[in-house]
Amino acid sequence: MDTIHNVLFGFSVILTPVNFGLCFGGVFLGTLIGVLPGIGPAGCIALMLPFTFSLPPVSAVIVLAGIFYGSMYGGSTTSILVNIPGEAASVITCIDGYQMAKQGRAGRALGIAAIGSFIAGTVGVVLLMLVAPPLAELAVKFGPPEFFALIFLGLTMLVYLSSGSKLKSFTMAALGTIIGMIGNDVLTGISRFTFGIKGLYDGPGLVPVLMGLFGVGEVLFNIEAPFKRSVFETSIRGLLPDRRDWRDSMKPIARGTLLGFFLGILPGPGNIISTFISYAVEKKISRHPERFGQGAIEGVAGPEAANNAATAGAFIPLLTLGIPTGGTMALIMGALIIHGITPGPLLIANHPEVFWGVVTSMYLGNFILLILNLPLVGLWVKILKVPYGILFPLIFLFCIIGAYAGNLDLFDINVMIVFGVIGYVLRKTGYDPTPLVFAYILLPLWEENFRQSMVISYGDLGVFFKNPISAALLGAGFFFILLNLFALGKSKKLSGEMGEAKN
Amino acid sequence: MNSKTTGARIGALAFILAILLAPTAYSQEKFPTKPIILVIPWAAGGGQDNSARAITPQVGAILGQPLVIVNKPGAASATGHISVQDAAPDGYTLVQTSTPIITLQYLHPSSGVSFKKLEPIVLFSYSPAAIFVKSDSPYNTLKKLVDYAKANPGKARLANSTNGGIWHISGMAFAKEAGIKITHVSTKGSAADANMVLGGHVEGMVGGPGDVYHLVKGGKLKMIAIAEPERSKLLPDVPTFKESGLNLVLFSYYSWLGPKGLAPEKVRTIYEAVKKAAESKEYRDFCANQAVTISVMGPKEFAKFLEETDRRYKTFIEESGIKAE
Repeated sequence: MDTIHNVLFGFSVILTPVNFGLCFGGVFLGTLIGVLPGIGPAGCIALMLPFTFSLPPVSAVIVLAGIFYGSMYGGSTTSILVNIPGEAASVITCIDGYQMAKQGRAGRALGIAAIGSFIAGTVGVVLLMLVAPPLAELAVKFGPPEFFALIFLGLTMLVYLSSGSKLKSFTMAALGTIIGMIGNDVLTGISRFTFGIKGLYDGPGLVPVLMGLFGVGEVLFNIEAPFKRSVFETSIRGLLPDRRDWRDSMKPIARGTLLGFFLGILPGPGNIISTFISYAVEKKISRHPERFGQGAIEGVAGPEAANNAATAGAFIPLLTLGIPTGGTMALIMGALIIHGITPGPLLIANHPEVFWGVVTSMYLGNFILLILNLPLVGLWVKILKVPYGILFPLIFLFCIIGAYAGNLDLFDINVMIVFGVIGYVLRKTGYDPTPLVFAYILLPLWEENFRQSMVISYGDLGVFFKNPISAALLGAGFFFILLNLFALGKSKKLSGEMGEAKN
Repeated sequence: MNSKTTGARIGALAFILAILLAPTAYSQEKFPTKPIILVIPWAAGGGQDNSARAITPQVGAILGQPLVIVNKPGAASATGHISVQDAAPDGYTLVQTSTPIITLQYLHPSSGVSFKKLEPIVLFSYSPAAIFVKSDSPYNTLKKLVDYAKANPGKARLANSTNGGIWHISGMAFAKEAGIKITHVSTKGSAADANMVLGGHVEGMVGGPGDVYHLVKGGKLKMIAIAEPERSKLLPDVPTFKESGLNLVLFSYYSWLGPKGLAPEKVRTIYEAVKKAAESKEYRDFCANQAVTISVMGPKEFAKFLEETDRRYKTFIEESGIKAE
């Protein structure tokens, strides 16, 4: 009953014309930012920060939060239509989303992305509302050993991220690992592989690498050969998902939601990582894994649900403990601090209007986003009809703006172009850059957590097995490896038998 | 052509000429005559950024020109610092920063960042180093922590947020003064430090109250000692290191510097404005919320302070063997 009172209280806070308008404005802006490749929610929130100072605190957070989860809706649009991710959490959607677009099913892909995002976002907010404090307590139990084990479990999924040669996948992952090593080491402060170049002290940067590999690389690849756009001229069969799509997507959306939500609570880029894991899980569980990479709607529904649920989860540590899970949440925290409200354990008690206002604004925002995005599907699909000669310079422009906007450093643009060339070469030689990105994000975290674990355990390797959570996660990881080896052995045996039977 | 059109055309011409010639009028005006850019070498939402946003409106009101905050994170804060070091010393580009102008000299010599290439203007507030433990920790006083560390050399773990940064140095200074051996764990930021302490993975963390004060207020963390010469009025319950016989005064600060060669009159103008702004209600409220102490140092005092801390931190970094390159 208490919760219902609080929710009604929250709605009374946000259903003022001003707050409603700000919520709408925030999610609209967020969607736009998500659609534009390169510029992500973090950059936009940083730019909008000064404009929120004249607003009351609740209104400020409503706008900024709206930008954040709104961008998770928009990001999939360019992923599906032109194989270029709108932002980091939409990289995975390119894989099957673009294939669906090529098959004339772009509208259905966009539709299921929007609907999946809505379901995940709303469920995420409900969970945030009901179980925030105990989940926050659980999240702090995750120390370096637990993170190491969790990432290990995630890495066992790496193999499912791309179809085709496993050797090529691992080569890409190895390359991603090496590139991830560039920069300052957190534990010792030592610069690695920077060759004294200032711009590399913090590493090449996620946005320049991603926009280079997937944005610039894709554009370079397409303008080289006369790009056959005729396939898109064929009538787009139905703009919204049909019954079959629904049936296929329901469970992935459910799984993606839970996965994304829990990964979002933990420190780190939960919204990005959860998309990779969701894709890998869907592929592993699927009865027809060979469909992935050829336009399987599960490969769009799951990850898109995951990144939206993750943004809801990310608010839990911020609103209950005052601990931001990453750069974007730190920005929102900064916005609150400037207004004289320091989020922390006392936030719910001292400023209930902030907590409940934000929570209910997320319900409203997700609803607005659904209504906004579904009709827009028809509009976005028309983008496919724009001649590539006009489209690609625009894409290139936005990528450059996105790469520059992060640090206001021209060096980042150079990094992006270098990776654009690399991305072009990879595409020409048939290598898929997805495992590269996965490794680039996860391996440095893995190493950092391993070494931090070694410091806090005074060098005892057994620490991973002595802590219950990390032991369980490591166990699950080893279990999957054994399962795969077993399945491998079985299939070899089967083909061996079949070979004999044929003779 | 009638007189009305001629008149209008002459008027338009005069208008255009006036606009073209107007900038030349600035050189006779009092400083500042256009907005001042304040570079912050860290991302928005962080401690320096929040403090800047809390004080710049007041400074702008006093100077009559707005302060525009530009975040230039990247390269371990080197990019932002270099952009101001290389800027024209006309008073329209400033940097808000803290200890990195000293520590980067030794940790990242190739970055070229140094306080010697900047003109000190004013230091207006600071966050003293403090040790935080979990509120239900068995080591909830400084004495208990030191005793534990003496009995178990190397077993006490303190998290800090940048290897070679001010909190790491503070932790090392503490260990040296107390004659104990501490294991230091560097993480990516105060949020990660707080996570480690709350989860029981380390005994405590070294940091500034500003970063994790909300967890202290919320009862999750306890501050067991603070590196101030005497008890802070904002935190009267927190004993100083001095009370336990450890002579430690260390802090991260909020200060403005300009490019080297900035004219003394302009330095004075900015300093006076910031000094007044630091006494404003808005800034005092912000600092009370964040447990930041307001204390103003003028250009000469600040310059002397930088020289002195440069000598101290240089010895520390050399002794501890931290080398980034």
